Amino acid sequence: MSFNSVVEFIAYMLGQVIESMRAPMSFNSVAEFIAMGGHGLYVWLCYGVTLLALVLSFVLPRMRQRQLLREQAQRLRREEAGL
Amino acid sequence: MKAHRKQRLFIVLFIVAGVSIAVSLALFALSENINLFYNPSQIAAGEAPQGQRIRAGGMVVDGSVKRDQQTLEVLFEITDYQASIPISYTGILPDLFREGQGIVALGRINEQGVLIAEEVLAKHDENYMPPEVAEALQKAEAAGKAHFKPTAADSAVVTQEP
Amino acid sequence: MKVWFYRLGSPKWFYDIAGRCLPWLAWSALLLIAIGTVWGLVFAPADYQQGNSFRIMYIHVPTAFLAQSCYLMMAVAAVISLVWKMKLCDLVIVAAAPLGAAFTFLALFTGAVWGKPTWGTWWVWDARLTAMLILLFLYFGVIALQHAIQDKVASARATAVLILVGVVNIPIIKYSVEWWNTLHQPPSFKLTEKPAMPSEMWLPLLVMVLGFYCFFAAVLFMRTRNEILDRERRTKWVRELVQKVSSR
Repeated sequence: MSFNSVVEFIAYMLGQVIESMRAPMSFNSVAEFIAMGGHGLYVWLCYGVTLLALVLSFVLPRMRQRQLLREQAQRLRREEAGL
Repeated sequence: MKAHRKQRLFIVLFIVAGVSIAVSLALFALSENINLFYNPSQIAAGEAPQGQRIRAGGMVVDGSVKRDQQTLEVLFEITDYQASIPISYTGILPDLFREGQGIVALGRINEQGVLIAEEVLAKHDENYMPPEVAEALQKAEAAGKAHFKPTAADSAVVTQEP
Repeated sequence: MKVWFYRLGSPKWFYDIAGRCLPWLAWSALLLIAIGTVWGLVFAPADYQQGNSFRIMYIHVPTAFLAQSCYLMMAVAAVISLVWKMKLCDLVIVAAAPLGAAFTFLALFTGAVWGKPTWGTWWVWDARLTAMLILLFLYFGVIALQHAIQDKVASARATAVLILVGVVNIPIIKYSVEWWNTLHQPPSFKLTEKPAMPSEMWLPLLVMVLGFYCFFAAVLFMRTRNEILDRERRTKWVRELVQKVSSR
């Protein structure tokens, strides 16, 4: 199937969104969810490492910004005192 | 745009074009070696080096899988719908290994033309679906209502020219 | 148009605009990634062949998209930096390279972990995987070059040239699965065709991809703002800003 127009494409997308709102959960219990059908180790390893990387890449620049502002404020004060 | 900027833009374009041409020439020269595996028809045509470790890729032929009762040896054939070659493998097969599945086997071809595999990898296709949908499709196919078109991975194995 | 172009090149202007966009981007990233993760992990159906290991797709695909998008963005910045000598572009490249390397690493890592149960191997030297590894080394090369040359102008120029040379790798990554026999399957998504999976599987992926793009933009803005603060510390506007912030 291919789309002949943008309108057709958008209509198809919207239809699919509405259709998928009715999906049930794929797991019956928490244990089943953790086990991931025997692939738990692989799935959770991937999600864990990604979460760690995302958190680090968000937190580190924030800390660096604070540090930069602090350092520069100190430098300004020193310059003022020196004058 | 000022003249010196135009000149710099040309230099930039020149770098990109030059490197692209160089790399595409290199890739063209190497294109045989970049392929991860040979198709059965390439092997049948004698394009694969003899006695060396090679990879062969294709679909496992329906009904060709024979498991040895005593050992872990498995015999099966792979095909690209033009030619097929027999493969012998001793060991544990990947979960996705099944008849009709695309696989890649690494090994040597012996005098009888059998590829003695040291490693078998499953090649999955780009189609994903829930189990119920797959089941429904199979039922429909069995009932002869739907013609199950070959999945893209089947055709990928068949049509990909080196 | 021209005025807009040069305004955008002004670090101060970018600092302000990026700062205003940041909360929006960060919150939409958090919201979208949270929705996408729950949707993908809990509600999306398992695959008929791969079972639940296919749920790794919901992070593998967004990180792989971003690894390449980030490089393309750096290449555009490199052209502007070389031709128009826009300083902001150099700062964006410095800010983006480690981020791109992180996403490339994640794509490779999740791919390896996904490959083990599905293909039967962590790694294989096929064209797609090798080209992606080259992308990671390109990012490393860019970062190393930035640190190796002390002079800022020379460093920016050398980095920009390296990025442009490496840009040929991007189409190779994209088309490797079509040009050569690879273990990696062809793309499930093409612009002109219906996706090769039902909507309850690709909608969470779409949400994840959008979330990751927002996340990338947010972190890139944060990092670029830091680079601006550092590089422009002697200018009047940064001094005023520092005074304003520290007096609070």
